[in-house]
Amino acid sequence: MTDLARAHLQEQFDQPTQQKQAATLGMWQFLATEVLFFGVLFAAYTACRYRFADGFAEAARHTHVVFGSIETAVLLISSCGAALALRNVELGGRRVAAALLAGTAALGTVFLVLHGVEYASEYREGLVPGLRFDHAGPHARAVELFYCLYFLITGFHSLHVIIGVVLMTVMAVKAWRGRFGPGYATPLENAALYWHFVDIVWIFVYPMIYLVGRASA
Amino acid sequence: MSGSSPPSLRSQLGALAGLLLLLAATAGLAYVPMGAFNTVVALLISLAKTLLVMLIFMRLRSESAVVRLVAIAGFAWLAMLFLILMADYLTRVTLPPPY
Repeated sequence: MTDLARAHLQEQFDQPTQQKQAATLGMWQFLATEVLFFGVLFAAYTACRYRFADGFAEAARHTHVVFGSIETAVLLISSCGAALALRNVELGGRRVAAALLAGTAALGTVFLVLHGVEYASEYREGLVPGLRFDHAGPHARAVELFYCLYFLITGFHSLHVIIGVVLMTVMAVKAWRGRFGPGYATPLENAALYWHFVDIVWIFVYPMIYLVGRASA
Repeated sequence: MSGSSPPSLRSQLGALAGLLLLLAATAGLAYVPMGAFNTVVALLISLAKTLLVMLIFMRLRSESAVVRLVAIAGFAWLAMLFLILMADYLTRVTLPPPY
C-alpha cells in the first residue's frame, strides 16, 4: 500500500483496494444508467426509422459523412489517449500522462468544433427543424423527424463530450501536479471510463446517422 | 489496481488499430448495396468496436465478475426495451384512416 493510497482512504473503507472496487462498481452503475438514457433516444430513432425507412434514408444522405468519419476517428484516438494516460500513471509517469490527457481534451475540442461546423452548414442548408427547415418533397415530414432526432442525439452526445473535455482537463492538471501514482488513480480511472463511454455512444451514432441510405442513392 | 499490472502498450495500440480498421470497414461497406444487410453489418461492426473499447480500454477483461455483471446489466435492460418496442412495431397492422 502506498502513502498516496493511504492518504486518500476514507473512513468508511478498511483498505484502499476496497475503496477502489467500490468506486469502480459505482462508476459502472452510473454508466449503466447512461446506457439507458441514450438507449431511449436510440429506441425512438429505431421506431421512427422502421416506420419511415425511405424518408430516413433520404435525410441521412444530407448528413456530412466526411465530417462524421473524421469525428469518429478523432474520438477513437482520444479514447486510446485516455487509456494510455492511465497506463502511464500506473507505471509511475507524470509528464507523459499529463500530456496524453491534455491531448485527449484537445481531441475532444476538435470533435466539438467539427460538429459545430456541421451544425452551421445544416442551418445554411435549411435542415434545422423549428429554426430553418426548407426541405420539400414527399418525405419532408420524415426528414424533419430524422433531423429532430439527429439534433437531440448528437446534442446530448456533444453535451457529454463537453463534460468529458472539462474532466480530462482537470485530470491533466492533477496528473501534472503528481496527485496520482501507481497506488492511487481512482478519479482518473473513472474519468477515463466516462470518456470511453462517450466514445461508445458515438460508435453507434455514426452508422445510424451518417451511413444510412448511402448504398441506395 | 487490485494487484493487476497495467496493460501492455501493444494491447492498447492494437485495440486502436483494430478500431480504426473497423471504422474504415463500416464506412466502406455502407456504400456497397446489400439491402437490409447494410444495417446488420453496420450494427455488427459497431458491436465489435464496443467490445474492443469495453474489454481493452475500459479493462473489463480483468475486472471482477460483479463489475462485469453491472456493465452487462445496462445493455440487458436496453435489449428488453428494443425487444418489446419492436414486438409492437413489427406486428402492427396499419389501418387506413376512416375518412
